[in-house]
Amino acid sequence: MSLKLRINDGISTPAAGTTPKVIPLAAPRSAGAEERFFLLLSIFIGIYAGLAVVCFRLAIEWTRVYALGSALAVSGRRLILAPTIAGLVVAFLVMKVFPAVRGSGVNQTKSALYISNGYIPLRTAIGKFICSAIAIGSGHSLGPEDPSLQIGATLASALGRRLRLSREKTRLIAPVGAAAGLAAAFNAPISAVLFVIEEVIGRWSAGILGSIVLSAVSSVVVARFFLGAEPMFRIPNVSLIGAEELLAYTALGIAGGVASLVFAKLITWLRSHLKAMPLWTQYAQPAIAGAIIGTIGYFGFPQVMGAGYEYMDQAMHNQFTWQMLLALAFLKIATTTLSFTSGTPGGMFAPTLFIGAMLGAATGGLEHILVPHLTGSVGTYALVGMGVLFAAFLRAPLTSVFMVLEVSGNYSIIIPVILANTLAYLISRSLQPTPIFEVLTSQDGLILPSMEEQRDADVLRVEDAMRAYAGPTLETDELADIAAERAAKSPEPVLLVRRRAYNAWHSIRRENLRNSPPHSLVEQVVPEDPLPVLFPDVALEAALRKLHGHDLLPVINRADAGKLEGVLTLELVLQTFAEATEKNLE
Amino acid sequence: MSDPSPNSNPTASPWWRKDAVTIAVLVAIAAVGFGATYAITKSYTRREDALARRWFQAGETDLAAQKPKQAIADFRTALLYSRDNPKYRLRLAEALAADNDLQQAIAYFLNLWEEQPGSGSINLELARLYARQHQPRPAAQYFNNAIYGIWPSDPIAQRRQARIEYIQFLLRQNQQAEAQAEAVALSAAVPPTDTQSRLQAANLLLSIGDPEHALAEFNALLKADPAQASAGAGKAAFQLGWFHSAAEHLRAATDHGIDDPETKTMLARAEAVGALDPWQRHLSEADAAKRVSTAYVQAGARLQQCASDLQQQLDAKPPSTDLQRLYAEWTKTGSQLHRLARDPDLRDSMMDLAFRVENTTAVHCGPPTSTPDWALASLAKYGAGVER
Repeated sequence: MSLKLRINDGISTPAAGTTPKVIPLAAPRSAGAEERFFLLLSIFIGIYAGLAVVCFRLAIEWTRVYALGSALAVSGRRLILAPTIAGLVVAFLVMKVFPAVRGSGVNQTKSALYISNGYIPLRTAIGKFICSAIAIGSGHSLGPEDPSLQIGATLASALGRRLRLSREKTRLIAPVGAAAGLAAAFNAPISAVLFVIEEVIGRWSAGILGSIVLSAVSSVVVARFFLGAEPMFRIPNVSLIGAEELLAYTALGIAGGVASLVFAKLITWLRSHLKAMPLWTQYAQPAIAGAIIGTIGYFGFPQVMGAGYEYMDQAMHNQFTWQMLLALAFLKIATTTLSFTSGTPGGMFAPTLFIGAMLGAATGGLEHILVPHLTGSVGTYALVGMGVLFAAFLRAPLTSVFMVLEVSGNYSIIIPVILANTLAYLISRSLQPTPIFEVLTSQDGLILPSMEEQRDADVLRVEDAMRAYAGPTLETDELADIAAERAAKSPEPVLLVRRRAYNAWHSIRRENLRNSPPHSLVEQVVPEDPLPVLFPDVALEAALRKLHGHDLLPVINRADAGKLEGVLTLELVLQTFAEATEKNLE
Repeated sequence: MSDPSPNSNPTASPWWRKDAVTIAVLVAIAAVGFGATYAITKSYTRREDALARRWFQAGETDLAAQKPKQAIADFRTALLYSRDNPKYRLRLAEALAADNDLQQAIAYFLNLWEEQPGSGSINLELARLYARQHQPRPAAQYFNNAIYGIWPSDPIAQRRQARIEYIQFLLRQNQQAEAQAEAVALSAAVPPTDTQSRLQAANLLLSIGDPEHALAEFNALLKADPAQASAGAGKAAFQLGWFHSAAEHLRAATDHGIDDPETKTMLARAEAVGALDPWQRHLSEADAAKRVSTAYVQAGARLQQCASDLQQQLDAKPPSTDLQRLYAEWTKTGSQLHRLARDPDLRDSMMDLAFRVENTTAVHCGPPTSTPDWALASLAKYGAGVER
């Protein structure tokens, strides 16, 4: 059976009515067995993703040595020729062989989760591996983290299909692989787990969290086994001099917010223009981007080429003047925009960190000159700057804080990190309400759920919809005749009955009570099964599920199960949702 | 749906047994992947090591050829392939220092220092860099760290060398007292059998302005190295105004082949002081009178030379300048020269006049240059303190 793909800038979905052809490795399992197997599988996914990422990193390094030479300070015509030729090769591969490998990989993984039930073709991983290695290794201004994320997700997806997991697990397996890929690339499992939760899945769930953590940890163990346990950067002595230094970090937060805005606007604008150009130009766009980036490198700024980790390291150790750092930050914005919008496969994490590090170090350097008594080491500013851009540009505030802490291994800078990141995040949010990942998906004509919106959405609770119970609360041990008398004038058509012994609640329609046999107890006429109970703080969505088959449900006090706070009906729930929607529209 | 898990059905086989084949396949794939990745990583590591060595050698060559900028680029590239190699990092920092990029050199050394805060060599390099940056406080701190730091080979000599550099730094900072204290500590720390180091320490004490300790050190070394020790002792005694001993030591040094101009000049001056001193023990009245007479004539010549340089008339009446007043006194005293042999008080007063002439002419015409004038000025300076 042939697999028809819908190609939309790297996002592939099986065409309607087709099913990917897979060779199953295992028979279907029961739910419990699958749950346990999924956890075990997560470890294997982590191992495979770790191995793949190690090979990917080495492939980038090999490419760099062959394309640009082994010297750190690359010079000469190679600077222009290597990214240009690589651009041509990558364009051909993307257009003809691997059409699904465009973009960074984050949105592609999200689309696999939300659009194609976790399906990512294996050739995407192969294509991403080859194309990204060529592009990054030859000097395109992109990073290896997002491709690693996608490679991990693709491997996991392929494995899930072959192991005949349930639809739910097949869909969730891609984020598990994504976390593994990102963790291995970053050498930072906590950040990877948080990013996938924050940006890909969007919710905390015990079921998926365990798998993600297992895969992230196992992939990091594998990556460290092969590449060493050293952190990505040689972390300088980071410290906070005093509370007054927070003013300086405030300035950094503002600068980071503005820089991320410029970066996002530039990508949005250029990408939409380049996508609108004729199809044949897409063969030339990566090469032209490469030529421009190479020219920038040729004329004195080779630091902006490639992922640039070694230069982030140098910035952390105060090895550039603040003017140079500022120039590098803005040139990196320009070069990454060119590389990314031209359709060259590669990630935006490393460039974002690069820009943040340069901007942070520049701010620190400048503040050293203006108010030398106020500022600590430039390295601390570079480190905080990384988090600032991560929070503001990628809109992952929680991940950004933990990433800085995890990379630095120093909790003494938590206050400046939180302050600067939050400030940058808020500035970016207020000036660019739609996060960059969503802008990109909307440019591709897709509608993926917005994690930021989900986080910000007001949760409607039972207390927002419930009303007071107007009828008498009947007891199971009273006579049905007397109870019927008590309920005769009640406006409630359905009456609540309390079983004191078990603090359980039942309901009975008024006419059923009236028609009960003489001298019978209420207990004998109410349905045997107790009603599900609700609490005022329960989310309305959760309450809705419990309402099925019931006219009304009691809302009780958490401290006293016998105390009735109110009642909830389906009408009330629907009415509350309708009012909330109207309010949102306003 | 029935749940075939072990909890619900104790007779059912565990879940992992059902997936045993699958798990075995997964393990096999992981093993193959590990093997393949291991081979690839090894191959790349070998290549990286080769590149690191190549670039390091290039850096060493460039540094030796006084091309620090190129050496910096080379060492940085070497570190790209061997990131945490301490040797490469140290050489990079040294290349940065050689390129006068003190800020970056300090940053690099500080990184190394964070990993090895007790390293003597890193502390010494930091001290040197801060000294070059004219930052005395951190320089002193790192010098002290270096003196008490860990040195992998020959720690005693390395610490001594660090202390010597510290003393020289203190002297440049005009911190004589601190330098003197360090120099005394240095000489005390030198093993008695290490003659060269003791000589070095004694010379340092001398250059600091502690001739007394220096003389004691040199005297202790007279047997071990008579030539250098005699020369040093002579210089130390000379500084103390002990011209008799100085002349003896300096003569001994000359006899042992020391032939430098400084020693010769000092010897000549020390002998001149001895020859001009009228208060020397066991000197006859006639010889004392002769020396006073010589001093008197010498003072007069100095006075006339100085007046000539200043274009002053010495015989002006009434005398209005210091020189004229001294000349009037000198002329008046001249008539009493024949009484010198019989009158010790006159000898003292005439020597006092000669001293005043030397001191005043030194103020107006600069320090004496001729040996006799210098000898007379030294007698004036040390007075009764001159060794006899």
